[in-house]
Amino acid sequence: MTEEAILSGCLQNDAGAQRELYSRYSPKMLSVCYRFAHNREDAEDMLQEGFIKVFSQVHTFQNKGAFEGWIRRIMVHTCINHLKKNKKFNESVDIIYANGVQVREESVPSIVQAKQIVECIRLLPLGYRTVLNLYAIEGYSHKEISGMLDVEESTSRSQYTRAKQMLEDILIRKNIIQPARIKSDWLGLAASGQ
Amino acid sequence: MEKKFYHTDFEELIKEKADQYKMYPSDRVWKGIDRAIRSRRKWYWSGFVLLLSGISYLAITELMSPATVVPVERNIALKEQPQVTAQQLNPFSTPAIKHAIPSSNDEVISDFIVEDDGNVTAAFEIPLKLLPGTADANPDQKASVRISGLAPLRNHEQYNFELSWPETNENITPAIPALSGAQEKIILHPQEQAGTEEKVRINWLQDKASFRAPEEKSKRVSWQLAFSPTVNYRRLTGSRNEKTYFASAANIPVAAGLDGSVGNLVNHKPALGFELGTHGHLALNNKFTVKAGLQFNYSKYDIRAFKTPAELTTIALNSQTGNNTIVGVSDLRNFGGTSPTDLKNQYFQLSMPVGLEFRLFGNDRLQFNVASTIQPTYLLNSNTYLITTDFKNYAKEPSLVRKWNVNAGAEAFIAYVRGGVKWQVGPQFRYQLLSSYQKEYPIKEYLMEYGIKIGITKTIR
Repeated sequence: MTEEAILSGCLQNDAGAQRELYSRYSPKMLSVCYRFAHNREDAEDMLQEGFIKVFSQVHTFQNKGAFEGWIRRIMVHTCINHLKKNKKFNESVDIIYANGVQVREESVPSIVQAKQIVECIRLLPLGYRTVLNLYAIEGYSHKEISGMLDVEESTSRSQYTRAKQMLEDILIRKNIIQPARIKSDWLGLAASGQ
Repeated sequence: MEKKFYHTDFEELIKEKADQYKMYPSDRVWKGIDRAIRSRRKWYWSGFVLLLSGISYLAITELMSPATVVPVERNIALKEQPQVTAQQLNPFSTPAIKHAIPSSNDEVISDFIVEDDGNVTAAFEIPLKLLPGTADANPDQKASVRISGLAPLRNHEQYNFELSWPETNENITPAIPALSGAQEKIILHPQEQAGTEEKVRINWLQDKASFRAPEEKSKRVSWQLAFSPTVNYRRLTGSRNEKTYFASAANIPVAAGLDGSVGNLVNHKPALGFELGTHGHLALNNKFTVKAGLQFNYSKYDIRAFKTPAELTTIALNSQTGNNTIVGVSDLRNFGGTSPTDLKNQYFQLSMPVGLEFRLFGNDRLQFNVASTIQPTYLLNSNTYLITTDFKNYAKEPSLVRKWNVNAGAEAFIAYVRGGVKWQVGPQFRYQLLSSYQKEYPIKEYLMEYGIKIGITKTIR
């Protein structure tokens, strides 16, 4: 079934098209929710709430961008709203003042497993994790993030910097990446595709 | 330059790996989604169809079917209805209650027949004027009474009762309960003693037979079906003290922003809806009537908005922590935009009105009444656009819409009564006492409905 057919079916409340849409996008969207959520159960709740919104608002999709991107935006906003509603986000916002590890930009790995990266992201405090998810993965600007999370733009920037530091440290401790090397070594690894 | 490169590369790597990761949700997720998107429609349509069916059934059975008089009923518990005993009907026994003192000319002729199958038929004539409601009858005229099906008798059975009287007395109608619905019991008075054999039969009749008259009609309970075409509107309010109110003055055109009330910052207009309800009425006295029932309201109003490319929207909520917002995406703006469009905010409500009706003046035929009700209300469904708290966009956020609410109603009407049916027509006003939205949403909306109510009320008992 093509994406156009699915969209058309969903507009007519066709159960088959709705199921097809869900089957096609739910695995990817659950991983999106999982990165924001406290646990898998919360992630599934977010996914459910997000898809209910998708089906009830599918008529507002204007074909001006990718359908998947539209669904993903709904999921992200659902996750943010869910965290706020459950007061989970607010509780950890002040973590932005925590000290992070030293920045070692040259320690970015070349090949790691997706699951390991995601699990490491989830080890970050909720405030850090949310900003990192929104900025680095979902592509929102710091200005947009500040509006979504009710924080200053500068706060979003500093929180992201610290989130990145902490994630890097976690990846090193778990031996997913190597400790910091000199920049030229890393560039050599990257160039060789290792 | 190098720093920027590293940053970008790190983020791309994270994004790439995160996007590669897929998880498969459990079955409960789809079940929950499926149930949510289907049950909304099911609930709404099922409820609506059920309500209409119930009202239609009652309308057909109570209002359109002619009233029927069933003189003989069987298998009804004796204690449920008042009784006229065989003794009272029996012309040969001493009456328990004296209705009138008969003169010596009031002769009663009786004839009891025991048939082969055991059935007993009692037939007799009585002076017509002894019957209730026939005081003006000619003393010489007699009414014929025939009671059949007396045996074999069982305690909970009734027997047939037939009464006839001379046709010349067309203007005289005996008030026999089974035939006319009057409340009086039939009481007859003996003028002579029957023979021994007849006495045995009569005594047997007194012990076994009973006649149950229809239950007394108090005429205090009635049932109403009402329909009102309505014009719906709303009142919007918001407090300047709210943290989020006027959050972004840049979004408000100067002319519109001068006043500052939320109602002046939006362009909305009334639209048509309707109300359909059924109520039970209990008359306390000639003036006051208590009523309660069930009603369905469809409310709608229009909002002028403008299409725009999708953009991020914010709904700031009242919160003790002060930073609680809902973010979303909207392609609708309050001001500006590419092309105008009319949004339709719709509410489907089920209410249980309870109230009081007061007759200001009038008689049994023509009356002028006023009434008021309080209506606990449940929102069956809605299609509602909320204005964002910066007044820039319209967005849907069902979680902010209140499910339970309370409405108040007031009405005045002229009623015309004919043949046990009351027709009424008059203006009504309905006002929603609580905001349509949850208290966290700083803007309050109160729905208003103006309508012309048309009702028909049938007396049940």
